[in-house]
Amino acid sequence: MINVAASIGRGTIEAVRGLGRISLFAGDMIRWSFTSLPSRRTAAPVFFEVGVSSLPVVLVTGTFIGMVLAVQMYTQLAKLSAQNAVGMIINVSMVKELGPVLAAVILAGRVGGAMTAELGTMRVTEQIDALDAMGANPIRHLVVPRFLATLLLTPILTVFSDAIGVLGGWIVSTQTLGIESFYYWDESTRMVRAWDVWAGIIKSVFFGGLIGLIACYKGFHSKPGAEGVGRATTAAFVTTFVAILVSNFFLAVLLRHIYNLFVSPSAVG
Amino acid sequence: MERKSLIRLEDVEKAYNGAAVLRGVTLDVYPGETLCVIGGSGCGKTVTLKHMIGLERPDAGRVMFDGRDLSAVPTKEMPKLRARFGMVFQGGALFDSLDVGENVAFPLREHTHYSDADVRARVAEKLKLVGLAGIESKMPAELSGGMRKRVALARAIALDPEVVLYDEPTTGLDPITADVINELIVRAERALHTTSVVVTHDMASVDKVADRVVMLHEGRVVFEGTSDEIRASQDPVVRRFIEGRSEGIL
Repeated sequence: MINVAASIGRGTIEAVRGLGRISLFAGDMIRWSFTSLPSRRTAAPVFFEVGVSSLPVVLVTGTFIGMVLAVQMYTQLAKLSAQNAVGMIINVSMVKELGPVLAAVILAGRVGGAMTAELGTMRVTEQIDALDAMGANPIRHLVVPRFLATLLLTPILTVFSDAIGVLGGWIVSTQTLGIESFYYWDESTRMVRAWDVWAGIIKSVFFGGLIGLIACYKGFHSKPGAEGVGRATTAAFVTTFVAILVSNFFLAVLLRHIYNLFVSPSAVG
Repeated sequence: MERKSLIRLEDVEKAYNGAAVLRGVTLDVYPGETLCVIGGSGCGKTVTLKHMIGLERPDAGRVMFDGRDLSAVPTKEMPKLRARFGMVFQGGALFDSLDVGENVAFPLREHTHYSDADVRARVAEKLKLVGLAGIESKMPAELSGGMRKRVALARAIALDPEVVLYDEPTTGLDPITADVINELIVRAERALHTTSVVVTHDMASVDKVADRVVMLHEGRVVFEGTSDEIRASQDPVVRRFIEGRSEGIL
């Protein structure tokens, strides 16, 4: 019994310490992001890797998600003779939930994993110590460009994911399920509000920040050796994935309140 | 007259996860000298070196550089202070994503306002000093172990620092390449009039470069003197190390 209590105590202390460490790390990262923008020489390769190199996989997955939504929704809606609403449902699902979450999860796996592995290797091979020894702040040189890249490019990739998902749904709906193109777009434009699109984009900014923060933190605190870097990479992806899904729920609730208070026609008067 | 030390460790203690690595290390590094810190693996040599540049902070005791306690130096001033050091890491620690030229140029771009042309000229000069002229466009992955260490040395001396710290500069190299590195340490010291601290377990290195030697054993200083004096020492721990005997360990 005492052992169980002791291990719960140890776990709690370790969790609080971890939270403290990542908060300090995030504070440093945000402070440097505002006080010292990375040079073009440092930022360009990171932005290219996060943005341009991730685009194909975001487009492919977005297309297929839109297509499968069309197939699944059509089957259900046809039972209610409401199949013309398929476009509206695909559009709302894509811009509010699937587009942002999907793009973020793909980036967490593709880019976040690579960042953790790269920074972990740099830690293990003393490259981060070398930066420190040269009087160059490692957070400014290594973390800030990666954080800014995920923060700023995740929303852009989300817009691409949204657009291609809607297009994929339209292709399947009109070419194989027999929905009139007019109904697909008409239902969508009637039901999808600009706020829905913005809500998805706002969420994606948070997701992008989380990806950069967690990936860099885990890489910076990687344990020695190949095993340490491997574990850090896995931990980074799992933590980011969970953080995206959990924060998605709370952001959805928060944005709904914001909408009701400030944006909806009744709130504005 | 008593000599004034440039770097001084006073009763430095350091532990990791409860395991003591340094147990009250006191040592001085004097201006212009080359001090070799020797000892077996895990005796705390690298940790000692990292304390000298403030990469590690002591749990107890203090580290003085040029009369200032490093723990009391404000974070904002650390980059300027570290620009007075150069450090050669065990594996070179070259930045994988940058070519050789940009690696050597890194401290110059960080701490000076030289034009691109001046940076390039200085990089070429330092690479020539380590016998690697014209390899600016090569990537670190294309270099041999010895070349990586020489590039790391070129990077460490790019700003003409007052102090150069070497962490196991000859480890993992064949005897001839190791001798080249030793020769370069002497050459860099003469050309730039630097103070050098060389952490090593290679006695050939000690013979070639050391003005003074400090030996660490189990986190404590067990010998301090010249390389001739260490060769003549009758201390059993010192003798076992310089003769490379494993008795009493297994």
